[in-house]
Amino acid sequence: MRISTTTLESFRLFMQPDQDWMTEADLIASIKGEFVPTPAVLLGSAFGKVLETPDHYRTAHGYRCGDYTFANDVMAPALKLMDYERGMFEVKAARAYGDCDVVAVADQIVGGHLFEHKTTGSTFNFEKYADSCQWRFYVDIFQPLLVTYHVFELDDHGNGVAEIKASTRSTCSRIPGCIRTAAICSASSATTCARRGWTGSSASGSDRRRRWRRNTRSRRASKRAG
Amino acid sequence: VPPVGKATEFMADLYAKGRDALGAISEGSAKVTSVVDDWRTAIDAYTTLEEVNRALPEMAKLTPIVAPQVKKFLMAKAKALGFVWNPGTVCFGARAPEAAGAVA
Repeated sequence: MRISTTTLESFRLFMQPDQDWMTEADLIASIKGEFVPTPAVLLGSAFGKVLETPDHYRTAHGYRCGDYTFANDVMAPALKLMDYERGMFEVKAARAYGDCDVVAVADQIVGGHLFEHKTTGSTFNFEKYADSCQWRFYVDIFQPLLVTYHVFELDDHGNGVAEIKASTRSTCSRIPGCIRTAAICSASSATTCARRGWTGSSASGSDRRRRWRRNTRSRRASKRAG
Repeated sequence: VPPVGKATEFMADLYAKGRDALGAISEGSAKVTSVVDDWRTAIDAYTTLEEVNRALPEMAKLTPIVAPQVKKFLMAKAKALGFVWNPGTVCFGARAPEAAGAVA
């Protein structure tokens, strides 16, 4: 089975004790690739496309991608952060974790340095990115020297004319020993979740985890018995 | 962290270690860039199916940070030359004449 680091991160977020914004239906849609993007996601996606190939989206006064426009002075600082000469965008790699192939797509790699470009409609939250399993998988799969998140705080004021309110750079590096273990656990849990399906949309976070542990125990018991 | 009274050189040591670490990262990254550039130059010069396929086993020997970058170059080059990936034989093949004609 193949699963993306994005889906694994969705699963990790869903399992957080205090998360109440993602429903099981959202998670299942994400696993099945039926995710319906929100305006914020569409804005982030348009911004990412412009970052990757600005010339493709060039207009007289800036850039346009889909329903979103980005003025020259808005994009200039972000484009300055990109290395178009040596950098390569959307680099894909996969690695097997047990019987699951985890697929990772790095936003940009420059030499041995991997970059992820993230957008948010709220303010920068370091923990959100530091806690993510995404960069841990990237460290294990690509083995870069560093992973840097460029986080752009975007706002289009609901009219499609985007501005960058702030941008933050946050760097993570390899922690010997603990990355692969965490990655294997995460991949194995999410794969099993995807295989078994997920039911009961009204379950609370603790119910979900309790049920997850019970299912895991029962699966292991049947394996031993069988 | 040493006691504050004895920590006369602590920050200087920390700074030196940080500088060395950053130097090593820059040097490592430059080496990766150089290997990727060499491959890019070589792949740019490929014109035949044999050349493209001959690169596959060599690519498997590359480090995890270099291999996906080189793979992307190779896939783009193979596509530009009209070759298609054959998962059965795990190598590129020439596009079938009717398919090539349909694209043209």
